[in-house]
Amino acid sequence: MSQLVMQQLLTRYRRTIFGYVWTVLNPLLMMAITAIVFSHIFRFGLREYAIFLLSGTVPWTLFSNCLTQAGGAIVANEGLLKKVYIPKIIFPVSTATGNLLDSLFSLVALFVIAFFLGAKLSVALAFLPVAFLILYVFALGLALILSVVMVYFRDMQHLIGVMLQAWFFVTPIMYQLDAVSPILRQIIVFNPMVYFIDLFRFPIYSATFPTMQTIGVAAGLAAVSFLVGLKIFRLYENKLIFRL
Amino acid sequence: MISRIQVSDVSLRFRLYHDKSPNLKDYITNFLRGKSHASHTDFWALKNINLTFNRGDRVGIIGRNGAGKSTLLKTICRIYTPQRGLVCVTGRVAPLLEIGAGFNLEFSGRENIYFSGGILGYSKKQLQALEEDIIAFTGLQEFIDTPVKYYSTGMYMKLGFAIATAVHPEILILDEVFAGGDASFVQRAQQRMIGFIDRSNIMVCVSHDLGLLRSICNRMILLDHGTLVSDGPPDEIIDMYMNEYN
Repeated sequence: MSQLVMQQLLTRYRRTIFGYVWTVLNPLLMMAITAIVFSHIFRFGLREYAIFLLSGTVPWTLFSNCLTQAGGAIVANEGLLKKVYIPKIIFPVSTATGNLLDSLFSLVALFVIAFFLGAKLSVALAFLPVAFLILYVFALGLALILSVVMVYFRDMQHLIGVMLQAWFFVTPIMYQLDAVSPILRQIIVFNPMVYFIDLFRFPIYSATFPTMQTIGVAAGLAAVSFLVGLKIFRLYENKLIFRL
Repeated sequence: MISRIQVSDVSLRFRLYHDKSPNLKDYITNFLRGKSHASHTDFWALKNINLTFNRGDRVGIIGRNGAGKSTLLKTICRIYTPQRGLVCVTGRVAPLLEIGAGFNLEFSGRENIYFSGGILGYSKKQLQALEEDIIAFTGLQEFIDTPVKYYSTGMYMKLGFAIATAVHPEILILDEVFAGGDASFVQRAQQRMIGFIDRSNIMVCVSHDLGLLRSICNRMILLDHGTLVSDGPPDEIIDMYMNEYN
């Protein structure tokens, strides 16, 4: 099984150089536009805002890609699943792992740019691998649930995009949590993504380690998401084939 | 290890949904109307099947369309999990249900040897050792680094067949697979197939070609509407099938 996951990952990177360049260039251009527009609106220094934005966009992109791609992995591979027996969990796991690698690569490239914009190098950056791991586990759990749901409700493929867009706006990625009204803030703190964004924002933007409370909540959420996701996937894994 | 397939009391149910692709809107409206959310009829594709295949068995499965032949093969290959009963298989299974299953069209032929081979359960080392053999057998040396999407149907079949038959399996499962391609390839494919069948411990095969089955099988199974009608020597079962249905 690990053999198969590896193979799926390797083939993913056997694409052209330019393909890889695009995975970095795409978020970069999007961020440049957002940074220019919103630094004006929020009256933020452009350089500072660009770093702030980067620290929120990287984890969000990983999260949203995991949900759409790994969540759709079973449906996307239905042709194969109907012909050969393969443990089905390989598809969401390898897709999510591929997304994780993409995200790691793009962070490295983006951080080089951020460094020239004035981001500080600090020991806190050493926390980032842990942050990636916690977010990956959280997103994978949700993706496992979603991959089952998508088989039963094909509409979910379209709905998930809309839901993620809404979720994006209630997550402090483009704005600071302190900048919103106290009432809104009370609602937003129930958004689990707040904690995962903080895992990245502290080391990249503030050059400090996240607080123990943030790490604890995020790790707890990740564990719950993963265990529930795995349980649901196991329950439905043998029934999926009849609905593909 | 002794190869063996044991199918004990297996029943497999398909749900036929009247609405073919269920969507959220219908689900919600049905739910609000208080209907049970998905109207469906149950259809038992296999009913209480009991079978044991042992080493040396060359089994042919016959029956009319919709009798459950392919479903039985897919159940043995673990693609379908039966709702009742157990399927127990010891030995390495090579499913040849469809040629070219697991090809990625964007990849070259060579990359697909690794990709599709991995899906069929070969290890990377095994594939490295087999790569030259596979390419030589297909006769596609010039095109092996071309993406598979530019292949003709014949080339595609050749590569799929060569990968699927690269390793001699203990248990061979065949579903109407008799390769297409040009005359010389068909001949080579048939020779390889016969060698393949000879060396496998167990062969299970579905076909409508009774002449072919008579020549390669030593045991025959007749299915009808998901139930096992009879099981015995090929000539006897084929005669019975011919008398009954013609």
